[in-house]
Amino acid sequence: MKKKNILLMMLFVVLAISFSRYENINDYMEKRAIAKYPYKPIEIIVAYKEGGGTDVGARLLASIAEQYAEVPITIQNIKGGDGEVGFAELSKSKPNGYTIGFINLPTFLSLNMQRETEYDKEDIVLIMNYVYDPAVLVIRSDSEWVTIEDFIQYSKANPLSMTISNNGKGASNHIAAAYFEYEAGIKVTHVPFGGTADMLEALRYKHVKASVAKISEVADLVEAGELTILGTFTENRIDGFYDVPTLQEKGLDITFGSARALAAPKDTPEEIIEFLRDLFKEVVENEEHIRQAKEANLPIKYMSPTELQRYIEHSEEYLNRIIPKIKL
Amino acid sequence: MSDILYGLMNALNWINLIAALFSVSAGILVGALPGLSAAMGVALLIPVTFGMPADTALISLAGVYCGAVYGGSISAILLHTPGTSSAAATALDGYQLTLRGKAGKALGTATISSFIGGILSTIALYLLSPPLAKLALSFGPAEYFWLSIFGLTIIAGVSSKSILKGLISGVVGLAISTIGMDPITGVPRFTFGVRYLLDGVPFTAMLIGLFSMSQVLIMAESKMKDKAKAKDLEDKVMLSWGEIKRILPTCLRSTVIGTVTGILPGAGGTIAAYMGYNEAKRFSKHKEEFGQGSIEGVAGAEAANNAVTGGSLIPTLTLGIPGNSVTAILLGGLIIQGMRSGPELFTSHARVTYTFFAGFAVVNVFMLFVGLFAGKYFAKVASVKDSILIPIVFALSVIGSFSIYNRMFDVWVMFIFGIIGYFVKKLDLNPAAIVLALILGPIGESGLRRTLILSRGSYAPFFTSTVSWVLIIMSIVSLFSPILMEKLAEGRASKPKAETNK
Amino acid sequence: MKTMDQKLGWILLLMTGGFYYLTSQLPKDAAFYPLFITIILAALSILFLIKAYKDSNVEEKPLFKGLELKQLAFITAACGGYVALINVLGYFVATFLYFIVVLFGLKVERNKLIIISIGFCGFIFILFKLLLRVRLPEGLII
Repeated sequence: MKKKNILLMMLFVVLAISFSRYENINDYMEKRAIAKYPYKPIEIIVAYKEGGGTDVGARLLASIAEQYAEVPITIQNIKGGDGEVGFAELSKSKPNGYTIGFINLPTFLSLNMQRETEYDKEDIVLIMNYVYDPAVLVIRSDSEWVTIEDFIQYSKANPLSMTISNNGKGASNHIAAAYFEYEAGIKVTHVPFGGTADMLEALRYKHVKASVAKISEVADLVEAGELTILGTFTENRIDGFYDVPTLQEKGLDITFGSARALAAPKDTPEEIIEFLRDLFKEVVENEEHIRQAKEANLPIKYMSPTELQRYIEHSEEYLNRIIPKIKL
Repeated sequence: MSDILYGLMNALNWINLIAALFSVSAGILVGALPGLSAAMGVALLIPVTFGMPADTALISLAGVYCGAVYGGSISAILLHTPGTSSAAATALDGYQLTLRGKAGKALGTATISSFIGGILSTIALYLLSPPLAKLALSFGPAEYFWLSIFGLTIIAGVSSKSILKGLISGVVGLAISTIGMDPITGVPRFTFGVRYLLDGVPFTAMLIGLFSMSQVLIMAESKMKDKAKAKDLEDKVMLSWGEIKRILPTCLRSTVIGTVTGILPGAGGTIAAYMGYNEAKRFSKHKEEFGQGSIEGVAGAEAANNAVTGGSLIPTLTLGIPGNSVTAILLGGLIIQGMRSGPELFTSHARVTYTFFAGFAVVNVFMLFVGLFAGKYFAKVASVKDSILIPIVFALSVIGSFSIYNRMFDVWVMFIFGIIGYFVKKLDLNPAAIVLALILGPIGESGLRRTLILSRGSYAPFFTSTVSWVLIIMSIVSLFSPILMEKLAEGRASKPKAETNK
Repeated sequence: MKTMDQKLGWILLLMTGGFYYLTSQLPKDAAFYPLFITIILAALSILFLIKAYKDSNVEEKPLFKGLELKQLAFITAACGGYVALINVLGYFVATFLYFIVVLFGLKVERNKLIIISIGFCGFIFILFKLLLRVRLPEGLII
């Protein structure tokens, strides 16, 4: 009787093993078969919530990229700690090319400057930059201020009474708003909220007077007439919003924006990285992609790995300069 | 108007119909099995809904919710063991009917009453949600603070057994909610360097542990014995017209009770069922039947607890304040689908929302038919032994907690909270209070601190708006209402005695 | 003999103390709310303890009557071991073994045991991997 039981158990274990992912055995054996890359789904880590700016862009990119890669490309939202959890997860993922992710600048850099993070900027290797979303100062269209001069005048006459919502203390919108405050020589009250959606809700429902957001997040609302942009944090006026002045025009030397770039964990094989760089460049230039991005208000700005590297170094230097000044 | 119609059409497409049918059946099954709760069923279903479009996902979750609340009555009636806590009141007269060979009648009553309660509460959904969502616009940080206080006072008021234990459970929930990044300054609190805790304890994993795994342990502590087997039904399930007419007023009354109870955060199906039962008795022309097998008793309880389902969805969808553990989980499911509670549900997401509402009605219709035609078969399943349920529920809990963020950390969180949940239940603490405090706490804290930031330290804004004052008054009322209720109950208890003495 | 409630009261007080200690290490702004919670928890725990001692004469519902400690410990250990092994053996192998161990330990008869173990794994495989394409934990080996 006992022998039969043992044989039965062995039979079942064999069955169980074959039920499991046989691809893993393949994986083991084909570890060297980089030439076969990609043969299984690729996952893109997004360090923020579903439905947010980064997520929307990632999903669009993934849907077009799937056609070029010929494997499914899925999005994994890993949020927390203003993006730290997602960035750390990316930096610690298996460097086999099947896990890549978005890093958000300058947050990716600024987090490290404000506290000990579980990732380091050396832990990733760059693929390309996808989106550059410049910051804008917005108010409700029915507010009492019409130009940025009105805004600054009011703030100077009533220190701390101007309330500006942001998406989290130390997050990118807060940095932008604080730098604006510094350059304009005013004192405002920053009110942190849990995320961009909450921050904009606070503005729209009259709980705060203004906000600094990214253009893609407010474009719809501005076009609908609900919000008004007082100034843009850019060198040149923004496409599609040509009647809105830049802060520079008004004498405030500030530029600020969020870049979202694609990256992979550091030890991913060179060949795979090259493959991904070429693939995603084609995706960005794809007509259908350009069309859909425009519809979704995604400010695409491709940067090659070298351009991106330069941008990162420039951002770092910029942050090192302004963060001590604005006393976050 | 067109969004509502669109919703109706959309809810009737193949995928949504199939989802509704399967989820209701699954829900009834979960409900019928003693030891499995509605919260557990919904929690375990969330990962299954990942790949689904938003409206299908929501309809499926609602299906399990409604089905489970109704399904509990099946084992309550046939086995004298409520399958879900909200069926506790149904067991009173339901089982009596079974003993008198009228199990079929009892099942039919439960089915029809649950249907009426569920369907009519859907009307409340349609009517009350949009205006309430608009009201949400006037909720600033100060108002949210008072809303959370109000929610917390209700927890204290409706706690089972000991109010003190209920309060303690609530405060423990508050404490757990502080784990993670401080909402205002971003400083990590109590995370011990674990980056996965920066966003707080993973919510759904914790819930699965608290409600599902704890039950596994509770099943594991008693001897595995054969459960009472449901006898074959001797009579028909369908009610006669006369009987339906008889229970109709009770059902309508209980629906109102249930819907209102559902809207209030903290109060749930169990309380609504008891109130429905009691009110049915009070207004009944056949009071003597109660306790011996009155279909009005069964109807009163079941219509109320199913009406809670629709009612509880209202604050969840409009204000983001879940009324009970199930809606708390549902809220999580909503967020996973990329939708937020509030006015947007009726503007940018209106189509999905109205499809959901229509689907909710469809779900209740399916529940009626499945219950009437297949109720007795579910009863047979209710006798499944614990020894089989234990590994199944636990294995499902593992999948459930893993698949949210695809990491084992959440599974361990689930495991730890399973053990905590076991002790919580054994020591008569209130797990639902913990969950509600967990959600209300951060809302209250952010509301408090943001108001102070906006007012630069002044406490005045807390006492300015009308909404704030309404909430303050309601909080005070609910704090003292348990004492009031006791006095009222004593008053009523003495009345019948006085009558019989005559 | 201390009743369950009394023990609970002391444990709560201890937890409050621990929570207070952790809170004291936080910067002022962040500590405000946890401190507030600590105070309420302390007050409630003390009230609770007082009540528990006052009512120590009241008949207590036997909490642990009929408690099959060995069985409970066995199940808890089996569950814990199962979770620990998932990353080593992979979800399906671990789940399969878990079922066999638990069902055997709970004295389910052999045929049922086999059918349920295979049946459940098969059901999960079909539902989650084929139909829904939900990821399941991977192990070192499988």
